[in-house]
Amino acid sequence: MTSTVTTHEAFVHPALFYRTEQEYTRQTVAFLREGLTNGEPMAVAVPGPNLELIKAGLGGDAEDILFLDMTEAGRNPGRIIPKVLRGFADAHPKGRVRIIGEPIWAGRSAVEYPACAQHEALINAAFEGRAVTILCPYDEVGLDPEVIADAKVTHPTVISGDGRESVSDAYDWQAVVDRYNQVLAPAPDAAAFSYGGEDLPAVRQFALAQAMRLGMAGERLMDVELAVAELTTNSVVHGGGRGTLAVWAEQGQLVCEVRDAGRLTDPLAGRRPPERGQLGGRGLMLVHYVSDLVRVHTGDDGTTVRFYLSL
Amino acid sequence: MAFVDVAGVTALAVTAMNLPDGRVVVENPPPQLPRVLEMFWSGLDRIEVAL
Repeated sequence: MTSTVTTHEAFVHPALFYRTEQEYTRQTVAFLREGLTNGEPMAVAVPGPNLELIKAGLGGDAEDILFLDMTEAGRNPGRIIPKVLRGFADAHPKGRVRIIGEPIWAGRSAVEYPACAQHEALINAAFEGRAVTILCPYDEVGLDPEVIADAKVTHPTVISGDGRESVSDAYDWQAVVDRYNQVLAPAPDAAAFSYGGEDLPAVRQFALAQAMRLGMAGERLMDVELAVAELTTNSVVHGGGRGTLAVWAEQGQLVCEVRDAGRLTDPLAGRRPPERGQLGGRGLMLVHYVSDLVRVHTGDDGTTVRFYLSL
Repeated sequence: MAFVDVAGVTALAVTAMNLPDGRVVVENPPPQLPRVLEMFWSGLDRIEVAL
């Protein structure tokens, strides 16, 4: 498989629609062999079983490639750009890097999917102008038709299982960011705490107590406290000076939600890794790093951020 | 100190990075400090955490 449509572009972001393991292996291995020929640093972040298909297909050529299980590294789609993709690309600043990223697999839940689709859309903004190639495989048999349709909106080119590449006429990544900026209805049975600037220590303690009551234990309690601290501080500094924290459990996960009057205007907020010496820009990224999922709704009426951690 | 947030750890890390020489030793820090350092400043040897 060769990229005949987009090789002149700095950032190349095709979706691969595969129907069988054979198609998957043939196309991903061809993509990586092209990178080997070009001497490009390469990473593969896909679900575990697909990692094995690619490794088996590459044989001894797999040695210099970074392999990550996307179900772990990319469990929260919101951390894939800063930690997985930028993490690898920024570590190889000279020349083109080549990545296979499969963030959406059969089994992603309906709660996760909007964040997955927004992630795929935001890749286009995060890597605009950079010499990076990211191939995103989609299981055309196992995924809903709606997911495949969205992939044509979030990728400027698409590749079929037999290797034919074409321009996607539907490409319009901002539309997907907007469509999945969905209102998050309040949970009826949540424990809630309204806070202002003087209440930040108290709201952290409230979050910890509720998390323990709902079964959270160990080091993840510290992650709850850290993430709640960042979101509630954002409310006080950027979100109108106050907000409301709600905590509940659903589907085996602890959910913490912060509502305030602020509006997120930067779609890449929390996904743009700061320089090591930079003073700000890590708060929302920390929430993405420690969580299994982050959902956001922002608009004229305020912003809601929900983060999920497995109990 | 019972708690430190990302801004607090950032202040410490950036201060340590800007030292002309030597390093910062933090004794008995709140548990968030090593967690956040590992997250954003992995390998920074200008800070020594003494538990």
